[in-house]
Amino acid sequence: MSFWKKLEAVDARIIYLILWIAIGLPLLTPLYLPLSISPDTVNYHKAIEALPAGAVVAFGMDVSPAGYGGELGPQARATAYHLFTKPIKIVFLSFWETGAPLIQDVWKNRYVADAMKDKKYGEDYVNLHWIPGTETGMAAFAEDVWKTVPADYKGTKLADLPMMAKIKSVNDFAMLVCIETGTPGGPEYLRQWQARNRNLKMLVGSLGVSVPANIAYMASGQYISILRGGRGATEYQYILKIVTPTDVQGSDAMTMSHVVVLVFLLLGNLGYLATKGQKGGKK
Amino acid sequence: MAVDLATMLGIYVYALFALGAYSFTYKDNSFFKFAEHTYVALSIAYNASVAYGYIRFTAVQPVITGKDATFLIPLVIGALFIFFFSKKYFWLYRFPIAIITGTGMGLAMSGTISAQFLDQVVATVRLPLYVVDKVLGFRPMDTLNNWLIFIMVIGTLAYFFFSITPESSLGAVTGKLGLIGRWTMMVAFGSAFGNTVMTRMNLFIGVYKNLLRDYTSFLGLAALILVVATLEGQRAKKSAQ
Repeated sequence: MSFWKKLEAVDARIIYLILWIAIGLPLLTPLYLPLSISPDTVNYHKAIEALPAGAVVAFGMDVSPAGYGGELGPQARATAYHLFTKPIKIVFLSFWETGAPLIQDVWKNRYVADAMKDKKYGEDYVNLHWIPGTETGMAAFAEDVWKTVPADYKGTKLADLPMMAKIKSVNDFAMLVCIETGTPGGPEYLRQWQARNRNLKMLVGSLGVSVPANIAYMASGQYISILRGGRGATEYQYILKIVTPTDVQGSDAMTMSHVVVLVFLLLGNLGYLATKGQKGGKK
Repeated sequence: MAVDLATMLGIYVYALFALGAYSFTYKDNSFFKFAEHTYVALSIAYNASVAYGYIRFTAVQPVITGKDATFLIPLVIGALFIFFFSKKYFWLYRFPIAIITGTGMGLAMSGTISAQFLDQVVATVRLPLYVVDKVLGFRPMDTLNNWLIFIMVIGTLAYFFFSITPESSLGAVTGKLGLIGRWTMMVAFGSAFGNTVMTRMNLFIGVYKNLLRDYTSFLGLAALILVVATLEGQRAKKSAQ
């Protein structure tokens, strides 16, 4: 059997093992591989920087634990940190029941916790927790915040939260930051929130897998910008100067995994071409 | 660094389930099945408990305290879901389903036309094919991008244009444009595949990072799962013989 035929018949578990090793190396020690900053991440940062004092921002934590553990956690933490450094009001909420408890996990991050020190709950930020009904819930919230969410995550009535006095509908929000795993996510917010408030600026933190779908909305100007998966998160952390060696290890591991995939793609195609037309090979 | 028992237990449980789930890449085994079934059960239980809490606080309490009796209507309609399990009264189950489907579709449709169709069309039509910035002057890359969008949108639309036979002269033109559309879609699929790889790898990296926080749990449990999977594989092989 020729080399190429042996390669084509390689056990998938060998490839998994190579991946484990290739990803494991940078996780043991950071390699500090180069990372360029994309214009989308720069625009994401600029949009938050440009928020006027007192602006109300909705922070949609529409994530699953798996998405949060991978790409969206670093995005959410970096975004929350950035928002807390600005003199604005933040309304945390989630249309994913699995995303709501993770809001408090974001607050536990040392950078976020540090930025929150000078902020007062109820005056500068609130957590409205989970809002059921997916897209229907979004529509109801957009129409009447108080009727849809009578209390915050601790059960405190909205009337007892001073900053909520002026937040009655989606028209009172200047910006929506949506960290999204899937549906409901950015497109649903577009349909139910931005369709009602055409001045609502939208930023989306997206899983890599959703980037091609989200780019269309960015090109049309409906989204100001998007964070592209884990890479986008690391780029943003670099801009904010809150990148840690662990984050670098993550982006290094990602680069290594892509190198492995590219090498196998190349070898697979070379094998295909080498055995094409041969007896027992590809036709 | 001293680690308390609760944290240690958490690390081991995390490692057991993460490695159990990933052990499928080696071979289907009982650890994987255990992790899979536990995850399904936990997520259903979590969703049910959160939904119960919300309904109790938002709808049941206002009805009981007499604050807002109108919540009784959605509560009764929602309760009709239970008739899914009755052959005789199954027709009652259709009412909440009809209301949810109707409302959902109506809401989605109204927003879709403006936000996802008209706005997209307007944005595409408004694309400048010669981009000049007030400060930076002529923008060759932006101009090229817009030309690509212009050509690729027309090509992709032509690919899905089925009303003209390929034999006609107009059909030859749409056929050529359709070829551009086909290539456009191939590029889009390639991009989607690349992004999917990035997401899956990031998921894996997240788990891997957590596993490496404690080597003993990681290595010990990995070895245990591999041994069990191998033994199971051998047993399955023997019983097949």
